[in-house]
Amino acid sequence: MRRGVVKTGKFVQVELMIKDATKYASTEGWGWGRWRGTELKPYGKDAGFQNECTSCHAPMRKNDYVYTMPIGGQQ
Amino acid sequence: MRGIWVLGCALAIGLAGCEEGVNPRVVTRFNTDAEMTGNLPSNPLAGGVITSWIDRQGGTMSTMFGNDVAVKYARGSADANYPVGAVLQVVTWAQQEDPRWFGGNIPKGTRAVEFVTVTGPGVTEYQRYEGSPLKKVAGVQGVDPASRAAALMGMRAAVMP
Repeated sequence: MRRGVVKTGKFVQVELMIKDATKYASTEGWGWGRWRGTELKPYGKDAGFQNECTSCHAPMRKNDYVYTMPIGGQQ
Repeated sequence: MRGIWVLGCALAIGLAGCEEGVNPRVVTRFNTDAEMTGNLPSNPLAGGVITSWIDRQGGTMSTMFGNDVAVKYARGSADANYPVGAVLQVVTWAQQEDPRWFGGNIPKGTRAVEFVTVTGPGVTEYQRYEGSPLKKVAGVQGVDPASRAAALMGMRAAVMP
């Protein structure tokens, strides 16, 4: 790699949001998940960790709580 | 006192206005800037991710995708001897500031899409597409296609549990 190029390094965590307006009605219609490290340790001590997710995503409440714009077409 | 009351009303109206109005930064939409237009041999986004990198000087971000054969090999091997049938697809996007996340960058227009196909034992084919819509080009001036293909195949897969 030439100078100035940053490549993927250590695995840190994986996160997901899964939509189900009924099942996850109490958490803004989304199920939230985060697993840390290569051992995929579940984040948080209990389901209350989801409050952390929803509060951070609250500014996106008019966009169904989604921050990242998916790339259009070709999926 | 009256001044404070008037100010309070003004603030209330202002806040109500914010709540009712549509902030264009948070409107639901796809990132259409980053769409790949044109006829490509295969759709990179349908493949699995092998690794990614960011070129700060060039202001671009690249993701290497692969078909099933390539992804399976990349995850279990440390060398570059991809089997016949493996296809690597590298998409390079220009970057733009993420309007929804201060300090973050997201893909903008597609700069190039590269394909490396292993067509036989030790035999690879390199294809490169540029422009909008994407069209096949001979390659990058001064860069040997075979060397570029070898460099891409030599990249280690990102660690994914």
